Amino acid sequence: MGSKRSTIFAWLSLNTPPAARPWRLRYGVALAGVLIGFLGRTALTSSIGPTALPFIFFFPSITVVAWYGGFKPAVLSIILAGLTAVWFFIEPLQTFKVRIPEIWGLLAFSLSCFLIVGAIEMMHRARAGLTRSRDLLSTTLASIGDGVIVTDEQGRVTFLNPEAEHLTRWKSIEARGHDLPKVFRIINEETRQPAENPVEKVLRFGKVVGLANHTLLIANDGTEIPIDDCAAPIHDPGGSRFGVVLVFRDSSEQRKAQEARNRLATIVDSSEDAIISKNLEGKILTWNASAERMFGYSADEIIGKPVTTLIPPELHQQEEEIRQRLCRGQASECLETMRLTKDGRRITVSVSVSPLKDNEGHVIGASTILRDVSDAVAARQALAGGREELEREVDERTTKLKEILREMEAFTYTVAHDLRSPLRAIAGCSELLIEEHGAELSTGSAPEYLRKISDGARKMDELIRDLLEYSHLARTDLKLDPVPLEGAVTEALAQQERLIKDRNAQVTVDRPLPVVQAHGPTLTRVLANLVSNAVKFVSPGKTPVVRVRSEPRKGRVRLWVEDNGIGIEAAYLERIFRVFERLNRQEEYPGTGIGLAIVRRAVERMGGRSGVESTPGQGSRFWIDLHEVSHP
Amino acid sequence: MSERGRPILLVEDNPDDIFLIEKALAKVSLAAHLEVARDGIEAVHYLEGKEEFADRGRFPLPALIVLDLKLPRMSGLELLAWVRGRPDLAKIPVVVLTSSNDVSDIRSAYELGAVSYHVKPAGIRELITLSAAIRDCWSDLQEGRPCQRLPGALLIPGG
Repeated sequence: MGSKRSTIFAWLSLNTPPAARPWRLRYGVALAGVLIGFLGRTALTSSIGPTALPFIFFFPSITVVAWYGGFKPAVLSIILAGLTAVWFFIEPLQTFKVRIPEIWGLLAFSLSCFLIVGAIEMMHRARAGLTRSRDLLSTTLASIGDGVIVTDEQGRVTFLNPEAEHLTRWKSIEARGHDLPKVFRIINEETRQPAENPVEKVLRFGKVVGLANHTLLIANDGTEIPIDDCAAPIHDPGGSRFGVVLVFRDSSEQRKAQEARNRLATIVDSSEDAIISKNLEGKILTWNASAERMFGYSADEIIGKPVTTLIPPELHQQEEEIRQRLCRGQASECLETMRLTKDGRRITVSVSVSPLKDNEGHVIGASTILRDVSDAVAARQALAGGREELEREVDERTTKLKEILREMEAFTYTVAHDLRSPLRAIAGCSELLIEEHGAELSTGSAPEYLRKISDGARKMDELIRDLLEYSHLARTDLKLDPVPLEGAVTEALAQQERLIKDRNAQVTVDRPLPVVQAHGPTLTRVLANLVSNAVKFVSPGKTPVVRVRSEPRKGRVRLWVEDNGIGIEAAYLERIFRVFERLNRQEEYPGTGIGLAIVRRAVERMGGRSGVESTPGQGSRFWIDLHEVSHP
Repeated sequence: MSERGRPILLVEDNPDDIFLIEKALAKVSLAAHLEVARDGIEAVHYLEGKEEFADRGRFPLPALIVLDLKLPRMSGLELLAWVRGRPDLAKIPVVVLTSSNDVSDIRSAYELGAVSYHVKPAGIRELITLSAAIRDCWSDLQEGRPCQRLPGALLIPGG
């Protein structure tokens, strides 16, 4: 409804161009105009006669029709008005015949009408042109991203475009008539003092002025926006100013981008690495401070030169490969290669090349980061050299050690034979002395001295034998085979038969016993040592009771040798496996103190473990673990 | 000496050991004569009847050899191998009496046909016990019986 009414007003409005109205209305008005002219003239026939003033009443109508309906309806109404006048008001009446004098009148009427219609049409066209340029201007102002404010020659606001409205938070209608500084409040960002009104400046100097940097616009709601702007005077065609146009834009984004660019530039410039960019033809585009230090070229010297200036001739092919990868958008990372400095030195560098792309993603060049790794390479080579030297030294020492080991073997062999033979002489002769000359030497301490000589020599012989065995175990590789524990235990008990008999010991073996991975003679020696310990370390007067048994343990066999002896205090459970660790006085429990060390080392050499559990005063339970050999 | 039968040949370089072994054998009243060779070469000479041992009447082939392993010029094991290579001598029983208890020595000695292997004992009593065994062995041989295994010999299980 409302829209229909407004449409009707638009039709009636005289400001509307005729072309905007419906054609029926326009031609209807043309017919109505002619009709009104005819009726007006007819109404006067009684007073002025039938033929006086045949045309004059049509002029107002045709003027209105030309204004309202436009050119063509106006031409139609001229023709109709002429014909109506000729038919009704010119002699002979009721005919289209026209006599000579009246022809002049008709021509004058037509000419006058066309002049009126032409003038009105020209007015229409001028106005349409004006409207078009105004529309263009307002569309332009609305669509540009910059804020535009127009003032009159006194500096009062007359217009704000939408972007200016957005930035100042003023509506164009509300702002109109205010002094510019009220709508466009600007301060210096650093001093926070009001900045000079650009319009005043323009009015004073009469030319385009720009704003100082760091200008903040304070919007109507207090928001502060950094802006860039300029102001220009508006002159009329006669050259006199009649206003100022102010163009400004929000520079926050631009400023952020600038700051980001500055930061990046700082990073690039302060980097220890040389950072270079080049285009696809290989021409150098940028050159940072480190690049200058590394290569000796200043930016002015090198920018625009081909990047191959920096590359030794034999490596140009490599550069070409990098370039081809680049064109496929692939980076080349941490490539270690050579570069050439301005003074012709070759430096070892680590190079990373990444493609630079435009906004559409096309590769347009590359950024190259170079790190001088000459020092690192030198250090690496020194290290490699050092390692070779070290290896050589290790080889030399190994050879020396092997030599020493051979000497040791020879030495121990000598000890075994030569050191023990005088002992046999001492022990043998002292015993012979007792046996053959006992009667003569039975007085005083003589028998005791002789016994001590003999005992000492025997102990020393035992000690040497055990020590040799212990060191022998460390050197020799034991060949491991399946060994039945049954046989090894029997053999060990046979070796200790004398001791067992002497001590009246009760030894039981829980049979059957499994087969283990071991070295037969060594295993027998281990078992003999354990049985001998079990029998020996029992309180005087107590019958030694020894039990040998085995238990399976996840692929291993644990062989226990349990006694009812004096036991071992918890603090000494590990110490007794060390060489020369003795817990008891020699007189009470004789031995070299090496037996258990031999046991431990021998079992380890056979891939097993050894240990002991004990309750002091009640007995000890020694164990050895060995790999079981599964039966078929 | 032939009335006392064939002698025992002791191959031993250490004079103290020779003295003690002679003493121990005397203690067990060994009837046999004891001949001593001071190294392997001398033992070869004796067995071949060469050089100073050319007189077979004075130096008859031994009934038994008691052999040390560590000898100058030619080792006990070398001598053992040599003896085993001689059909005329191969039947003479060899008893090894040495200070080495090295497993490889024991194994080698048995592989080369030693009848028993003994580590020299520290005391005279053990030596006298061993001497008694040697005496008994010699007696068996004299009477044409094979020498029974000597007691107390070191044996390798399974070897």
